[in-house]
Amino acid sequence: MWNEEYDIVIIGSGFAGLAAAIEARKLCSSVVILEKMAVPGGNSTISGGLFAAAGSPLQAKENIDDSPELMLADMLAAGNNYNYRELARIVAERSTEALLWTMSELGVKYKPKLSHLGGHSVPRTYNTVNTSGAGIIRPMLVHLREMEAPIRLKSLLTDLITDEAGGVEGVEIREDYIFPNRESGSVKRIRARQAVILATGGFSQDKEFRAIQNPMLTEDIESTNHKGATAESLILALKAGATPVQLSMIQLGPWASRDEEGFGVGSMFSMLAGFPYGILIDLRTGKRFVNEQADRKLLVDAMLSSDRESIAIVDEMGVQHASTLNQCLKRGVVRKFDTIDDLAIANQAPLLPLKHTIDSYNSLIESGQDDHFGKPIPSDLLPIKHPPYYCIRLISKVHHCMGGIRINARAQVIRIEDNQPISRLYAAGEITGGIHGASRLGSNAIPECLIFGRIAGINAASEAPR
Amino acid sequence: MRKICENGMKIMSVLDQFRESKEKIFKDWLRQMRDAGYDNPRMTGRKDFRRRFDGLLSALALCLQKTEQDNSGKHDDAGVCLVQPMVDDVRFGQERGMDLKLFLCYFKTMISCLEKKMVQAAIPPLEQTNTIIKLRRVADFTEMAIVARWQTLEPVASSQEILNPATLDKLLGTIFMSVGEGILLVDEDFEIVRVNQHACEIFGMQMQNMIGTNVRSLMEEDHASILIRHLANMIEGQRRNIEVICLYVDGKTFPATVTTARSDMGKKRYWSLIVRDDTAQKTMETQLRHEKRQIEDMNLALKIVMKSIEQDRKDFENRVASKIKTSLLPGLKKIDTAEASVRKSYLAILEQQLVALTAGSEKELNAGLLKLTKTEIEVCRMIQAGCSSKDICNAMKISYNTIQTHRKNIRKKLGLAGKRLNLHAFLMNHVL
Repeated sequence: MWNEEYDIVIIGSGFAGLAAAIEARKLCSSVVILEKMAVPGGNSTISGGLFAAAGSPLQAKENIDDSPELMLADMLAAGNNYNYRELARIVAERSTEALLWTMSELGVKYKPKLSHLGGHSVPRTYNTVNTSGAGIIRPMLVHLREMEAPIRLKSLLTDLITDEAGGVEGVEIREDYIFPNRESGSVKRIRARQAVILATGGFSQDKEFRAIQNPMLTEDIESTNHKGATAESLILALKAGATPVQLSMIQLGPWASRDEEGFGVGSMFSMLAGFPYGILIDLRTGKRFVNEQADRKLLVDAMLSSDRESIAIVDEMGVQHASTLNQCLKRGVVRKFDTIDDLAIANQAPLLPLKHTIDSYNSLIESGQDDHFGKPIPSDLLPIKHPPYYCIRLISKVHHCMGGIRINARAQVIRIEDNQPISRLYAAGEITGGIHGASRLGSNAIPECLIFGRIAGINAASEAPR
Repeated sequence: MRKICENGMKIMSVLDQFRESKEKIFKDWLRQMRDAGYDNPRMTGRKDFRRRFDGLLSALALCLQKTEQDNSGKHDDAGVCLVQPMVDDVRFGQERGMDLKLFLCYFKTMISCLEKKMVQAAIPPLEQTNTIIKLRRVADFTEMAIVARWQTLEPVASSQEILNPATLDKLLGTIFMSVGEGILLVDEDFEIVRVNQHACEIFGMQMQNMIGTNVRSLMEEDHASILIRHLANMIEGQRRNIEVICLYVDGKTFPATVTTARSDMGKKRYWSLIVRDDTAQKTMETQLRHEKRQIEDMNLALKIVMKSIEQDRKDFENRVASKIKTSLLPGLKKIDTAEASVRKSYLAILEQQLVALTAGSEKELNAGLLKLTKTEIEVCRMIQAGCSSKDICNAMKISYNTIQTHRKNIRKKLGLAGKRLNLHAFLMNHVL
């Protein structure tokens, strides 16, 4: 009946899956990670590597007053209070602990300066030195190799096998699977002596499934995610009785570039420089239309309304914060101009209104007035007047699925029928729902995935073997 | 209004200037196409270019005029300001196997060349912006018309598709992506600009992470330095192999062979690296080497065995020969001279000895039996029959002492002297 047997079977090799594996492997001898793609790391490894932590060492150094309560309040505000507070609180409370864990246990290196992302009350975002999630995934992979927890690539989950009582006993997979051909590979059944952990991420690339949840997300809307971000494992979890939560809450990223595919290098340019230190204008009017530091949902809604064509403009001073600038220029994602006139011509923007917009924005900063769009004006914000000028053409792309399956504080998957945990089934990361509510704040996903991944790993490993 | 007209006149004269310097613009265009990687852009005929370029200028002039006339506020109908020669040549392009992208690239490059000229020209800034916006508009409308026409026209007959370079480009792209070896394209900063699926799998990284990565980070430091030096020293068209130790995403190392080639595009240098993971091959090599050694060891053992078998055989032959010489031949002689009564015994003994010899029996051939004299054989027979010495004395009419002497001699000849073996018992096992 079974081809193989392990103590713990983990599906997915992103932040959540690897964090679960590291904790589980410390407690039991045989842990396996199954990954359907041909390379490990999933969407995590192409993410921006931004990590929000409340009460972190860098905040202490920079005298920034922050607390888990404040972070939780920010999460609830962005999430429109759709958040499951108990879970959101865990993320806020353990964010700094998780950050320190990546440094001490994995040796992850971060830049020595915090970033201030839209929707956060204070700067609390760490950034990996290579501006990429790979800066965390790679050390995790190295650690797991040393711990002897194998990652089996090209292994697709095709079924969760349950016993008579509805508990999960093991998985059916396709080995040597070639994405996205569902017929490829050969079927194998793997038994889990202790538990199965689902860490399969979101479904931003699953055009069919996301349109079922939100018909506005048509096929022609691109995604920042890697190709493997599809819904099949979420559907299997639902089939096994898991509770669906807020599946239609799907976030678009407002910072992605029109001139490259996916997340690319432009997204980090906008997030780190374009929005906080520059302005966002509508090309047709040459005017600003939103608080650039608003949370993602507000930005996207503003950008999508009345067919705006948005670009972000930043000057030589602001561009210092953009760690991906060289790659952006090299790939033509960001363009550089000596004057605002040149920039206007190249983008076919009306010159006079644009100049006027920049002038009034500058005087706002210089005089210390409040912005009527509500953009916070911190003391280190400078007027846009130092050439050369840089701009990026923006388009919203599907980025994150806030919805998913319901878990409790122990990361156990909750059955829809009786509100009780499904025996021996755990989940963590983007496949779970409810933590971020209506909108996830930037840089909150990595702490969430690591924290709940570790919780799932520890609790799964303490199940009695059978 | 008058000012606009004056400016308008100026623009027109600038357009005339552009018409004059067509040759320069053509050269600039050709260079840009080359830089874009279209080394041999089809449709590059100078005459055709002039015709199309003139079409562009007239469309632009028309567009500018119209705006002036309609300045009263009614929105201009620039839709008709098309670069007609370009739109007309859609079929021409298709027949020459261009794909839409290449065709549009031809056109866009033309626009960009003109725009560059325009920026350099001595026109008041406002007019300049205005003209450039008009140029863009003309470009947009023409592009739309080209795309529309491209899609409505029946595709060129399939018999020509084999020769169609556009299909070929696509095919090459597909081959690049799906080939079973890792291919990396590296620029002058040694950063990866293109990479295929297999290379991603070899290094365990996603394409997005690979692109922009310095190729150094994919291998052990010393090896990376060797590779970079090696790349820097290559001349165009050269191809070389180099063996390096590469790094998988989780820090595991693996041996690989990299085939490098340099190719120059425009002024820029690129290198293609074809990476082959040698792990399987190296494992096989080690295994083969191991097996070979094992076989060699076995061979040696076999040789020794064969040698010893050969030795044994020789020993055996020698022994047989000496037995025949020392035991059987004298026996034969004796038979020759023996009396009939004992001859039988001698024959029986001989027969037994021969059987023993041919059977290769372990039992030592007892040559002693054949050495016995006639009297001794008689004595033996009697002993075998169970007679005591006294019985023999009586039967053979010889003295007891003589019998004892015979017995002694017999024991000697049979090699029993000094042994505890009873003569009767020994003889029971032998035929006499």
